[in-house]
Amino acid sequence: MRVFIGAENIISPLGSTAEDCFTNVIEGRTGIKEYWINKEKYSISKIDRDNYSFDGSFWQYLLKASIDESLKKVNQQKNLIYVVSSAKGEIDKIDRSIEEFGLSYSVKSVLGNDANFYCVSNACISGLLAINLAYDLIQSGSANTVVVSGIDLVSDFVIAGFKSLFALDEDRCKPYDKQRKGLNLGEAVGTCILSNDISIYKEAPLQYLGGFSNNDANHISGPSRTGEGLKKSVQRALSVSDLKPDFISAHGTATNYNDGMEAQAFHSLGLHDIPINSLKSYFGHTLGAAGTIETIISMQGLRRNIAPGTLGFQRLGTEKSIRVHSDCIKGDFTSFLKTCSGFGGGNAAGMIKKL
Amino acid sequence: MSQVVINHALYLGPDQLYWDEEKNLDLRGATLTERLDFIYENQIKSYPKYYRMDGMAKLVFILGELMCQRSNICKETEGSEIAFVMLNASGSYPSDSIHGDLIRKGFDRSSPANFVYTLPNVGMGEVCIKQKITGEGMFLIEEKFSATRIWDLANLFLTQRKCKAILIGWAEPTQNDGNCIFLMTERDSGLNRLNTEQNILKLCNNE
Repeated sequence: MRVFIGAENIISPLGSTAEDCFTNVIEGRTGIKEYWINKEKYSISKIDRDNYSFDGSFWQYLLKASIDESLKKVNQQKNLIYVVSSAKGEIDKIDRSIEEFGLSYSVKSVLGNDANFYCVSNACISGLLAINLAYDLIQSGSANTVVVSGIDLVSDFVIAGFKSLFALDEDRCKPYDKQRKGLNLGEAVGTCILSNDISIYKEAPLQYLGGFSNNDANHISGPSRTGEGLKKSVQRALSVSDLKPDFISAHGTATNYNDGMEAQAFHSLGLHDIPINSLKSYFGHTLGAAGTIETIISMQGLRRNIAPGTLGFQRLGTEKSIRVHSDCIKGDFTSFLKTCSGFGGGNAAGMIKKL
Repeated sequence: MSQVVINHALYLGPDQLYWDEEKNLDLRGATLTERLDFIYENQIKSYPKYYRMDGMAKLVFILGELMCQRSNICKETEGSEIAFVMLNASGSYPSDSIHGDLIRKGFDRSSPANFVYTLPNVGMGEVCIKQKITGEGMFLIEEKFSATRIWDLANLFLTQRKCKAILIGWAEPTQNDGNCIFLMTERDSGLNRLNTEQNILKLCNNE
């Protein structure tokens, strides 16, 4: 069975549609700005609340807005299953009772009591796991059409936590670069729709070839040095698709260990000649939304035969060589590979191709 | 819907630990953490990092570890062919609360050791390290316990051939009575001990 993917939307500091966000990316604009908290500098990609009119929860407003925009791009509005991924949900409401704090409660508040939905909360790989779950639900016959959203906002909670891990670069992050010092946090919501029915899409969709995840079983807060888990999940994604990807949208947080591990994994799989990018210097690390929005930007790129570059990349700073590029690359592209890696030892990979 | 059956179930009750349908261990201790520590001292003992974990990670680690020690499926299946899926309602709420309280006192009061546990899937990572489980992994948050959801997910991972065996569990550390169950099932299994979602419910409702 073919599973299609399309009807994508992103709301981020770079725009309120997938198309606007993509245009800003290929024109080299970033959502990351400087902020001062307690006299210390932080670089964060934050959505300007003043650009949106909403009452109550901004998190819930964004999720609903993104889903609504995606649903405008398909003909099917009923019998939908939803998968929402978020690392921290509405964490700024931690003071509420447990019942009103959980991710499931927030999602239900947006989708209503009758909606059938799953919530994935698996750190930085959540967004790609959500797409993989949607694919599996369709392949198994449990669903025909699945709406997948990834969402996380920046909060004092995550800023203070990542700062205490010494994981933040106070300037704009530099994925894979010799000068990389750490990550920037970012906020975004992204939605795409997977279906076995091509006729629901108003604009031609792409095809999801399948995705996999593997654990490093190495360390809870750091990647395996050799990238074993990432290698396994990429190998499995490549083997079901029987294609060599034309470009790779990797995780590229700009932390020393993560980027080094990814280079090791891609190099040892013989993928070092394939153009590879990180979108973190445009959007920051959007945690549970990263896998979703980075897949969507890459989908936009595949449709237009453009592989986005990695903003700010100058000199490769990983032990193993991989083909990171700062500018966009144009070509006659057929497919791309998306990967994510995160806390808890998780890695995920998925392949998308043109019809 | 499919041929998937549950081979083993581990259920943590208020004062007992059940292995499949039999009482297996009388637990001492008033709080959930005390009971988990008692199990650790009596049945595991070889993972000193246990005492650095938060309540959620302890719960996932203890039950995941016991399941892997006891089930032949875990011993006989390649680590990369075992999927590990967890669900609960509160995510990492207890550690989230601690982190929230710390940073309210001061932005620089954040503790890295605590912050790591503000991701609910981190406890699964500990089981994976100890048992060399390198297959599919996913943490899902549900409104409330649902045997049907657990059953459906186990079926999904097995029938979509994402794994040969799946360790799937529900762990809720915010309730002191220990609302926690772990199941182990495999593809093409001959065993048929607990083979319906009703039996998952029955097991949970026994106590």
